[in-house]
Amino acid sequence: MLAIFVLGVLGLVVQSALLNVFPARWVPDLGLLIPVVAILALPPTEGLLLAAALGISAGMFSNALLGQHALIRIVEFAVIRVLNAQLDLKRALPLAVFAFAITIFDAAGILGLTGLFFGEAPVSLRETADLLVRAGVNGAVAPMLGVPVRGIVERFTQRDARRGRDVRLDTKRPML
Amino acid sequence: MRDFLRRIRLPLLFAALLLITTILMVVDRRTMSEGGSDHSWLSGVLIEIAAPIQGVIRLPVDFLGETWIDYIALVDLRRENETLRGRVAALEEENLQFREALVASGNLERIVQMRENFEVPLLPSEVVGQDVFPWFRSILLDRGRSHEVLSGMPVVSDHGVVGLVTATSPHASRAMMLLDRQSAVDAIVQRSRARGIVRGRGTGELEFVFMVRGDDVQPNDVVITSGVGGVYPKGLRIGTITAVQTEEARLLHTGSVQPSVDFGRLEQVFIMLQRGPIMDLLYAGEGDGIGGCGDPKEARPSP
Repeated sequence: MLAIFVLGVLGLVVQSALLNVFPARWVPDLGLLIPVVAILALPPTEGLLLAAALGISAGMFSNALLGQHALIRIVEFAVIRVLNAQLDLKRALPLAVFAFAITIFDAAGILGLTGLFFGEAPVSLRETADLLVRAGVNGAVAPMLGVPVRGIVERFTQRDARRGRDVRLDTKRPML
Repeated sequence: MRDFLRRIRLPLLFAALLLITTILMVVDRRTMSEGGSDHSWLSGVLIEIAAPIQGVIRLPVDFLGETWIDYIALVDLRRENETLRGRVAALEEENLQFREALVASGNLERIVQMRENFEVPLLPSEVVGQDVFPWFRSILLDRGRSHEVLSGMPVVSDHGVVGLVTATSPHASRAMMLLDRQSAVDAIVQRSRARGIVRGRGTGELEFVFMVRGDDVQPNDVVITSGVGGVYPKGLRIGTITAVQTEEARLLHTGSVQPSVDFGRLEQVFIMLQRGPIMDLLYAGEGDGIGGCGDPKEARPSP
């Protein structure tokens, strides 16, 4: 899980740097997509903890309230678990459509919480258009991220399982 | 019993995390409005790691940009050089006349003294990263505490006010831009001296809120910092009024302000290495910065 966490933080760093160079609407939201794809691959408890940890980290890279992104990520975790049971989001097309939808859900959540704490700020038509473009970019990028992230999760999960087996073999306790 | 606990472990964890994050938000908001500090050393560690990586990611783009400027744009350089030489000559002449007049009136020495009093050292800094969420407006700078940067110091560009340093680490810092909806600056209209508050909307425009009915605020008026509030020095350019919404029944009137700084194309900024008295008070007794005992992200003036 640590490897995925580091990957998630690295995703935030890269996203922040890319935003400095390209317009925001064309930059994939790696801080959102990596947790989404990882939640699909990880066991539920680890996925939930990872969502919260990456949410807190995202708050550090932003001027948002501490915990704001974490709260949204935790809610998104629940949405992902429920929808994955129905739609098998690991496949490319459902994942792309889901990434599009979750981007809008994420923006609505962030704006709602910001409005709650700082007073409402209207969203202009241009911002809405930018959000839709960004959701489209996220939808296109999500399936590409799915393969490497799942690969990392499986690799580390297998290594951990093997390590557990080795430990059992090495101990020469009498079996009851 | 153990089976039951195992079954409800996930819902319990879910509820606990929801509760913790909600408490974190409420505490952060309260800290902000009370002018206290927040964020831990963790934020500093993340910024410290992020800044150099982001600098490296920017390198190829900067290289291409510089190549363009150095080689391809040379075509226009000669013409521009000639124009500038002419202007320099004219300004030197004008400057000479002013100096003559000042010496004649005996004021030069006094003005030199005043200038020394008012001059604030400016530290150039590269913008290496942007806020990862477009709904918030902050930038990551490649200068930190080791360059004497402290939270609460104003950040400006050659066009005007950019924002305020809100978090520092040894070699990097984060600044909240004026556009952020948590940002508020006491301001005046340069022409009529009408006073109000410029607030960020989280979008590309700012909002000028002025109280006194009948104040003379019109489109194309330039808005500058008033110096009141002790956050920004007086006279820094903020932007230009583009529209004014006045309703007779309302006490507060608002105007839209187009910022003078192009926040979308910020590459280099200047950190004013002197913070206002209010900021000094806010951070008094707190180890400024993240690597120490806490990062006062709260340089945000309360709206």
